[in-house]
Amino acid sequence: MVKNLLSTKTYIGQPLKRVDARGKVTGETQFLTDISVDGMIYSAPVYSRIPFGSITSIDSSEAQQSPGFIKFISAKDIPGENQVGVITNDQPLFADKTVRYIGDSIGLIVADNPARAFDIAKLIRITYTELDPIFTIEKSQSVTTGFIHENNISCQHKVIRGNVEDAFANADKIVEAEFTTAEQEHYYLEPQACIVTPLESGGVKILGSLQCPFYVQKAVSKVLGIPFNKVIVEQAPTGGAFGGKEDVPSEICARVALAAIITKRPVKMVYGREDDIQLTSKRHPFKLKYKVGVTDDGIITAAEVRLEENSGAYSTLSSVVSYRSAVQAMGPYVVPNVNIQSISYYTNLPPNGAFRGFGSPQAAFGHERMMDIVAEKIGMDSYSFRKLNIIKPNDQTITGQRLTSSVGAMETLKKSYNASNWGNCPRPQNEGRIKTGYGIALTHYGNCLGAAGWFMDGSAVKITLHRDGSVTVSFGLVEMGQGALTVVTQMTAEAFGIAPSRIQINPTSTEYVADSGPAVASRNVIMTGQAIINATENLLPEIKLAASKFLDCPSQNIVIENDKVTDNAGNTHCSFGDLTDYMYRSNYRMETTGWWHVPELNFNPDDGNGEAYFSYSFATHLAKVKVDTLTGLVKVQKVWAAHDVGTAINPAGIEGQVEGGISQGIGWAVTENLKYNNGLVQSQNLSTYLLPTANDISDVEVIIIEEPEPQGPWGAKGIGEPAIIPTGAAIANAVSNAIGQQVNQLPISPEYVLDLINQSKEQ
Amino acid sequence: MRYLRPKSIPELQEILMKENGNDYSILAGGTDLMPRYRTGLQLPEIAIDIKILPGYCGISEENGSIEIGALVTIEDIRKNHLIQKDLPCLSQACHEFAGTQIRNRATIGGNICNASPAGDLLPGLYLYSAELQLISAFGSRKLPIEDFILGPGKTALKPGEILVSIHLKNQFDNSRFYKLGLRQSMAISVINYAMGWSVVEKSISKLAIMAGSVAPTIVSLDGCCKSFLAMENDESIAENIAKDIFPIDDIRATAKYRQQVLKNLILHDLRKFPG
Repeated sequence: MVKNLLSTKTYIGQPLKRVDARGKVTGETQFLTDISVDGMIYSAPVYSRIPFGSITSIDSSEAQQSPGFIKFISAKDIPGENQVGVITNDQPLFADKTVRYIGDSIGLIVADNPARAFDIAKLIRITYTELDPIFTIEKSQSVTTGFIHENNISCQHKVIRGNVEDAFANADKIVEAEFTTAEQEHYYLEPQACIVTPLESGGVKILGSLQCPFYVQKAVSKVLGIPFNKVIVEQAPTGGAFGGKEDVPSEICARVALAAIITKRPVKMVYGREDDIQLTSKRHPFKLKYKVGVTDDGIITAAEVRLEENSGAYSTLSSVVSYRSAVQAMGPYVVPNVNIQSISYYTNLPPNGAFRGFGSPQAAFGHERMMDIVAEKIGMDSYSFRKLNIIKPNDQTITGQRLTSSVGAMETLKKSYNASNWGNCPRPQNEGRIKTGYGIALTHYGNCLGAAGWFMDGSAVKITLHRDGSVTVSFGLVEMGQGALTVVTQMTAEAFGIAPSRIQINPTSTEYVADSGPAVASRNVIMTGQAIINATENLLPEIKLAASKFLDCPSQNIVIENDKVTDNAGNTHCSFGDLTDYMYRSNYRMETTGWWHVPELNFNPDDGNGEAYFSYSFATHLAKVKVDTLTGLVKVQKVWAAHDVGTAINPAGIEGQVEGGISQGIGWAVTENLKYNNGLVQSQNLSTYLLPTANDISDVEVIIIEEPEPQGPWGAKGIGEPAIIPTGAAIANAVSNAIGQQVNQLPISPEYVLDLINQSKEQ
Repeated sequence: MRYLRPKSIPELQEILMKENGNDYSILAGGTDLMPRYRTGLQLPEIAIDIKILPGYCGISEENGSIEIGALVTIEDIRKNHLIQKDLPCLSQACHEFAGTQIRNRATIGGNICNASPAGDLLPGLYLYSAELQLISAFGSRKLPIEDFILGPGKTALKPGEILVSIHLKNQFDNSRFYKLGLRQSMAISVINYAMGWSVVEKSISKLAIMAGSVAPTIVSLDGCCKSFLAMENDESIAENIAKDIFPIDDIRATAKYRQQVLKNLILHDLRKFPG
């Protein structure tokens, strides 16, 4: 790494205004619903209306008679493979035999306008032989016939270390508890959408609302049977994703791409909200079973954990969600003896998949509820008990990974606790109608894809200098609302020493940069930042050589800083634009690429031991709630959120991420409640799926802690997902603290709270 | 769907005569009708938009009775000083009604004619003995609200008849409205109620409670009020609440929760009364 990249920080650490703010505030930004292409026609999904069964017939004759009908496309039209499973090959593009959930794709209607396409899609007559559907983990485990796939286990992971039996035998106390968490719908404001245009090359150009252009490229190539270089995927401005546009756009774009190839016309598809919520992925519901051994003086010695996940009809990303929840199952605490099992079960519900946190919020609910329950059992307060067991530099995680640096767990705990002043509050007067409670929860979030995804954990950038001193950056990850464009601008500015205003970022496209893996796992800052540093290192010697000639001084003296090129002695200087103009006229290289991959991880999947992730972000959320004991309603008043981000690239962006994450966490924990009836979503829009409003979210105090990560660009780590992970658990701990009963489920519905309060009256 | 927009009462009456027997619906704010369009529910063949009819969008007082035009929006009721002073349950209900955009469109007439068991204005209208002025080509009539609302989505409106105004009289010295929704705003009531009471020489002389979302229509908790005035204990008051209501399980809450939370809140309110 070039020395001055680390020592100088001009643009890093500044709360730069979002570079995409103007368009999004004024409405000038064109999202897919706003975009048209000449000659465009429209498509709508045809999907299963039953949760489980086999297709006996598909009749499109009535649809074909309808005005506006262009084409009905189904499995038999696929030139390549009828397969879109992202990790396991268990998901057909179009079902031709078995349907596994209400919403399982059967075909696509192409018509001359969007409303007609959706109306005609309803005229496809499908008959089925129905099978006995499975909606719960319990039933999925217990059936002996009528499996959803070969069997009902979607995937499993384990972490086994030390000797749990001996440790339990020697423990002073053993505490057991069970928990459940519910689905969560992403509810991105912009539903799934894409436009696919057929190309003269025989390929397609896809413009989509998506997170992972390279996933889409791979899926479309497989389905159409054409090489990757004929599949161009460009990300359109994307109105929110949260994991919901990680794998799902692959299948949607592949279907529309097929329609474009067959009809030889550009085809657009935009899901309506009710279809989007029925057809696409959600956060996995978990069942969590914990058994923890502890000494009388409060040292945790052992943990046995069983996590069970409802993976829905297809495994999609369950395997990596399950992996993350297993290796993070005991949180940022030292536990020498563990036996962790994490198993996903197929059910006849929409596939559950990626959602901000990726299994971590569920695991955090388990380990953080458990920390409070154990603390109470041994007569310690929840803060001291955590302090005693928290992971510190040179301690080992449950997978036996020794963390040597950038371990800010303790700092986040102390700072949030002190800021809340909980320690100095007298025990709240909890006699009246409204009871107050506080709750703490922590996370150690493994940055990037970890050992389970190491093979695709590399990212690219391409940077072009123009002769006027302006700069274009192409990166392989995406802006989806999280602020990527702004931090990429800041990091490029810092790396070159030039003003952010010189920098323009291209829309992400498979056309410009190499496969950079998915824009997930809070990895953009680390991956793109390191790739920018690498790209700069590749070109800087040449730039300095040019500058030394232009300014007539030794090249080792050249400093580019604060948007000025100088000889570091004040004798001579020029603007960056003068320099690039000279470089252009003198035939210097004006373009550079950069690449960075995550360091190799030594991890054994057979026992779950080793380096699960190369780096961890730590966070503590401390929630204060008020509980109405007459109604059971919970109001989250304030969350003190301390985040160890390594180095803050953009503190304003971090605050935004944390406030957004906490709001989404409040939704998951308190107001949102996805309801199915026989596999059909009941809460299908905002009148019944209760996203929190401005009145329901809490005050948030963001505390940024900087423990630089040696492997992160300028020391930075990820923030996107840590922002939501501890929120639900902290709220549940606070409600438990307020009412004196253990909250063992999410969501914390008023009905559930009232039941708990009644139980305490009976006791 | 056919869309008609009469500009005067005679024009409206002509339309209503002509469309008699056809599948029509009156549209004012459209905040109940239009969501049906989105979610693919059955729609009427004809929408008759009465929003611009003159003469039914004012609030006035005469001889201690307040008249509200059927086309007055929820937001206008919320901001009206007369209502705030004399009919507090209505202004409180309007304050908790949906969000600003819907309050600006939705009308009191629409909220009544939609006849939702969870309608937020309804408990207050029952408490203030609302009388509804109905007109048709054949004349006009007045109906007490409890005779007008027959069940969920069902009213006593005859073909060709429309609701034009509401007449209210508050017979209580004090009244208040309470709403329980599952979030702080933009929520449909899980339960709601309006309570009116008068105090003579430090004791309650008169008490009425109208509860919503616990039965097909608004329920007057007469048994509970009698029991309280007879100074019976909490247990028998609670029993009397349970006797009067018929809640159901739906997407928002179970019948059991509705029953319990209504009991909790009313007992809590009653405990604060003198005596």
